[in-house]
Amino acid sequence: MKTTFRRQSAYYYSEAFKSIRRNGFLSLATVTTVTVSLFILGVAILLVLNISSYLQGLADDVEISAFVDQTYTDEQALALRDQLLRLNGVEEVDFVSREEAMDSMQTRYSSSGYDLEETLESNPLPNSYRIKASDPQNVQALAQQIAGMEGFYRVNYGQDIVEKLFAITKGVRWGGGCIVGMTILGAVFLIGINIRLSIFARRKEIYLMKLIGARDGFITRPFYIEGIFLAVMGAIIAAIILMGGYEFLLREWTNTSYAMLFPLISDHNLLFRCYGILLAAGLLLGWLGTAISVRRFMDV
Amino acid sequence: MVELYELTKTYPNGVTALDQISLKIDQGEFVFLMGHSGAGKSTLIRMLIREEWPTSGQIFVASRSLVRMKKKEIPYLRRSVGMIFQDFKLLESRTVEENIAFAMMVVGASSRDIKKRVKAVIHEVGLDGKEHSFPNELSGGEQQRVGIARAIINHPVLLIADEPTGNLDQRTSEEIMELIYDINRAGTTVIMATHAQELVKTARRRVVILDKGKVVADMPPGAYMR
Ligand SMILES: Nc1ncnc2c1ncn2[C@@H]1O[C@H](COP(=O)(O)OP(=O)(O)OP(=O)(O)O)[C@@H](O)[C@H]1O
Ligand SMILES: [Mg+2]
Repeated sequence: MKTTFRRQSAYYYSEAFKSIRRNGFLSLATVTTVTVSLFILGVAILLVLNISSYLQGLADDVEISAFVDQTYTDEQALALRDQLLRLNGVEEVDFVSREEAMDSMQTRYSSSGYDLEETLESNPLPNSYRIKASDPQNVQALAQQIAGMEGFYRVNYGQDIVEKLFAITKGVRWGGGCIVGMTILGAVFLIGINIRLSIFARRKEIYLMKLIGARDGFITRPFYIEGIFLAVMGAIIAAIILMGGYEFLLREWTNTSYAMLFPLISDHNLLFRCYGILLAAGLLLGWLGTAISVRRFMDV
Repeated sequence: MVELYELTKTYPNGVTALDQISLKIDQGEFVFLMGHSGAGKSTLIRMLIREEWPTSGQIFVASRSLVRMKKKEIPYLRRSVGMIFQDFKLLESRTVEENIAFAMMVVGASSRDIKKRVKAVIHEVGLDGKEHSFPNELSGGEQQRVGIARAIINHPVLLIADEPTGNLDQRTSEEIMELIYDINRAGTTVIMATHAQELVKTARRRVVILDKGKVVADMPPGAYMR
């Protein structure tokens, strides 16, 4: 009878797995719930990561155009450059003179083949600055700051696209956060029920163990092993599905024409860290669900 | 070994099960606790392993104050006190050997020590050959022997029995008592609650009688002859 004289660690695991088998369908439901909730968490993380990286990529494209008051002389307009450079979050400042602006307009409409300035009789365009923000998240704030400065009468930036993207990220964060929060709550709840059932099934034994002089740690350890095992199983499955799905998407995406427009993150260090977060989250869920049940139902 | 000073226990429902009890039991003594149903015997026994705690008064077991005892220290108190129950409290899904070994594994003994000690204790209580039986394959007397083996496996200084012969016939009771006397002779202090008057008469040991939570008689060995 090898099993009679087991060491404690062997006892912990055998009790945990006995409980998992005894709880049968519920164990399965728990793993599934954890898988679903952590999969959604993973999708949300990947979505936010990709959108953030895309926004970072836009940093080069989104620039602010600030138009100098027509009452300013060219010298006064040029003097504004220093003030702009002194602002926080400014990476680059380019002065565009009225002439340059006219020229570029001319080139743009050169196909029509006539002299724009002559037609308009004078150059109606103002002096302006093109400003690049070091962080695309700052564009809006920076633009507002410049609009408030003396000497500028109008500030343009890629309002539409920037605001839309921020709205999307915000939406993903909130919506994802809500869904993730709810499913995680469900997962913790199910883990708790699982452990509660296991405690109930073994209440006679727990009472006896207490009378014999077992420490709480000895009594609760099998339950922690059970809860954490179920949750980590769920997390591993979620991570595998997410990894497989994303790799597949990555392969398909690079073959399409969208890949240039919206490149997906393919930095595997970053991706693996993301899958690692899922496993850590699983560990935490298992521990939390067990701890709640053990606190509530162990005082036999 | 056990000292009680004006120990009072009032349950949350208002029942005062123990009322200002003072009692001293020396190391190596054998004491019967008697008294009508509801007198407070089981309550007193549960206090000794800190399953219940006093409303007022003091308890010392093996020089440790149970009133001051922290929750964390309770397991260590219980390891030095063996418990035997009327209903045996065996784990049905485990064999005789496993039931006994369980008490030693719980306190973290090595599997080698457990193996050696379990074999010795099984022999001591006379269960040789029954190692792999399950509780429901045993007679009441045999089940109580398993209970006793489990209670003494960690070398307790105090053995507490709450009506250990309550479910057994006369002959089996006497056999079980012999076993408990042996344990007492080897130096373990024994406190035993019982209703079995014949058994107590022939035992010629100290008898403490409780009534409505008070000690109404404390008789030296041989005095109980009613
Ligand atoms: N957990 C409890 N909660 C409330 N009252 C209790 C509790 N346990 C015992 N009592 C009450 O305390 C009193 C003493 O009970 P106790 O079980 O100690 O008596 P006893 O002497 O062991 O009786 P018996 O010989 O029937 O076993 C009784 O009135 C009983 O109803
Ligand atoms: Mg009783």
